[in-house]
Amino acid sequence: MRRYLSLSLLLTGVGLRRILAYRSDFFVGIGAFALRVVMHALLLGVIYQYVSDIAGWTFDEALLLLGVAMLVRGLDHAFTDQLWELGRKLVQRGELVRYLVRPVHPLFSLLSERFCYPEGIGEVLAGLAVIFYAAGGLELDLGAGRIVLFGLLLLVGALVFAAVKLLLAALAFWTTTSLQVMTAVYEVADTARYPLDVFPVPIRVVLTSVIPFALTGFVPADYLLHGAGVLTWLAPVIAGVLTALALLAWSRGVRRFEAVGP
Amino acid sequence: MIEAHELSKVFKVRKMRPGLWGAVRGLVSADVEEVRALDGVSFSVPAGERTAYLGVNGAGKSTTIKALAGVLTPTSGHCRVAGRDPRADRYAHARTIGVVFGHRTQLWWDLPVEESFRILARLHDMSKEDAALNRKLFDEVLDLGEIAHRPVRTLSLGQRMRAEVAAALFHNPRVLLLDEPTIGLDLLLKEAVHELVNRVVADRGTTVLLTSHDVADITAICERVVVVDSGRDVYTGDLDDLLRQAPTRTVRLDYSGDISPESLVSHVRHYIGLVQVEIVGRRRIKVEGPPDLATPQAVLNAVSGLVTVTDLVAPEPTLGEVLRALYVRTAEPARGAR
Amino acid sequence: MTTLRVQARGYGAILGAGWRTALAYRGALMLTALTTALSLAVQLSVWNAVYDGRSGIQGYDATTMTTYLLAGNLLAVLLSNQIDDTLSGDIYRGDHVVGLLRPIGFLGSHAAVALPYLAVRLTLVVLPLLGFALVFVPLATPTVAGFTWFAVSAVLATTLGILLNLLVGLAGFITTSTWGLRYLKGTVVAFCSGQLVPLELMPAAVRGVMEWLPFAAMVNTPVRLLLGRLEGLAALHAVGVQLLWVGLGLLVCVFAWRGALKRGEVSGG
Repeated sequence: MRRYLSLSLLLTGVGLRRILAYRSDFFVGIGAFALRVVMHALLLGVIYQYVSDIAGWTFDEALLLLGVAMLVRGLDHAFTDQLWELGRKLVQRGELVRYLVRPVHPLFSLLSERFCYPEGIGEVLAGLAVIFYAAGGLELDLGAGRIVLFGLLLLVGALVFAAVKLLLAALAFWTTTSLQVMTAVYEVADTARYPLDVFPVPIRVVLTSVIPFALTGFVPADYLLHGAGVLTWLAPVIAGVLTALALLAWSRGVRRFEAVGP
Repeated sequence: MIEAHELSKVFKVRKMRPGLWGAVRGLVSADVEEVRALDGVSFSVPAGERTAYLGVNGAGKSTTIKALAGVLTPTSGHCRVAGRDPRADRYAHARTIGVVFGHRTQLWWDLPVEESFRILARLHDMSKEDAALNRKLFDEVLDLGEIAHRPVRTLSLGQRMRAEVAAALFHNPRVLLLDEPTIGLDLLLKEAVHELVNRVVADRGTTVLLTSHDVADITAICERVVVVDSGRDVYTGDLDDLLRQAPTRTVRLDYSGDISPESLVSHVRHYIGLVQVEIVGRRRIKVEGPPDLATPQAVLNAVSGLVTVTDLVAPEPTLGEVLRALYVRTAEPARGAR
Repeated sequence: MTTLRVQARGYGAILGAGWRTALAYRGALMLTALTTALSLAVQLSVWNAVYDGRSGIQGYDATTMTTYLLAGNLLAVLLSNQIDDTLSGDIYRGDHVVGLLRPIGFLGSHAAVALPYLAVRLTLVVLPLLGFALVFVPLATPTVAGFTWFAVSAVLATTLGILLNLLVGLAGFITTSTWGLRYLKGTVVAFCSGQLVPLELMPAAVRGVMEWLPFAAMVNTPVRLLLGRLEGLAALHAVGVQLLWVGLGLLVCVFAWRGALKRGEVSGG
């Protein structure tokens, strides 16, 4: 365990240096994130121009949900970004072999190539800023216990994101590349940043169980605003099941990779 | 150190039909074809030996290397490296072996070579002393000075290949697996790779298994060979013994004297017997035949008293010729020593 | 004449190869269809809540808005064609040198790869979703004129999409990695094209800026033509602007490519 921690530190440093190699693209990326924040807030603003609430959620509440969703996505983004490469080309080009001949867990080895991705950190900070801004217009009942549980729900949300990403990236073991699927599903994550009550039941079911993106924004935000509900307690269970599934898909996938031949 | 026992590997390949219509039909159904890449290959490499694993394209060379590296599961049979099944304890296996896959980089593409070494040292949990020692060694062997700070991506193919080999050797593995390590390199760069491998491997007594199309790689690095053809092993033994199995030898003779070339040729042919004799230049003839007949001594005896011998050359048979002959005979597998 | 024939045959080969590659990923595309449907359903539910007890916003009633979002999202499916990825990948690995050796234009061959890709997306994603929506979702019926304008405009919009992707891919000559740039492109296109919300609903100042950007020509223009919100001279004008952007895009691509060639090699040999 200690070995993995110290390796993580080393590789984080390496990752940062590597980003410096592509400075201009990196800054464009950061700019894109900032722009995305503005655009999403703008879209919310446009919608709320014409209504005072959607399914009982006011503008400030919806903005808080947006901030939470960004923060959660940033947490995941900062640590598992290399999974995109797995879905994109590592299987297709057989490059995955390099992680299989190292004396550390292949999944760790893979993720470690983009640890503490600054873009993710930037997204976390932007999310925090949006949350604080939105909270300014709301009267929140904040006790220490509530904040701790909220924090845990954020982590659960990030785990859900990571698990979905791993699951989709692992599809590449069977389909050689799954980038298109990943991109498509992630677009759903972007559009699903609305109160769950807005959606008809089938979509609610999909967003809480099949691709449970409701857990990555709505559930923590709803808890902070309105207190605990059934989903608050179900969230860790769903996240756990999904993570187990994703890890299973990964190990099955690696076995298949080794059987089919890199 | 390396043992392979009856290794077989069958791939299922989905056939793509040619043309547009084929693609449309491919939507509905797909034909699956079985390809037998390895068909019961057995061989062993004793500790400290450097062995070449030879075969034509598609003979299953890369498949074997991947199975030994533990990244490919054989369909049947088993292999052991340093007494261990490659799949049993992945981490211990990874520490034992160093592997170079010819056209897949294992370096950190966007980082300088030095940085890759640093990470490798940590990944393999090397002691500070070992790491420093190896960094110094490879610094010197690779002449890293000028390229140390450039990302691997910007290195030339030759520099990258050498860095690749160095990275595979960095954690002092006991076994080095090289799959086409000089593919795409020119003669000088190939020699640089040979030198690098030989220098490091000799000091450490590393066991080496090498696949290559290139005869130069094999003769420069290896003393033993395993030859596979159509997924089966057809020869295992010393490289020298294999070379001695050449079906024909050649002797070239330069001479001075008044005899006409034609009569010299017919004289030699009658004297030695079942050999071919040709005029290949002014006062130069070539004698080609079975190794026991076409010897320098026989040629000397044949011409003694007729001409003055000014030069006599009996070139070693090339591995290429020997292999070609061997592949032709694979219908009746020949096994050498051991 | 012979060079023309050689060229044509070259492009034909690339189209065939591209079609087979695109088809090889049909499983992924079917999933894309599902997620696009989900994403659409999400957007429609939100707007449904917005329209709750309200007849129109800026002249869009609920049915027109549904039609707008459907058409916009389906058009957006055709705007992504991955050639930015393949092109910048080529440049990153230095493979563009190989591309230069082929007897047909480098940029042209990359653009040609987009066509089979689009064809496959059209048949496996857009048409099934459209069919489904026609049966189950109440939609506004476009006029014949509106539909004709839309067809022309959609082709131009898709062309713009190809050009934009080429340009982003070519940026690889400057930034080597284009991940950030591609992300930026995705964001900007999604918002500024009017895919997520009709530009008319934006605040006046924002709308003013966005209508001057080329992205509006990629979704907002064709869909407004379809809905008959631009007619006669206005329609002609809108398509003219699209044409202008296509021409400009072509010019920029060619100049960027020439400039890149002058810069010379980016990756080690």
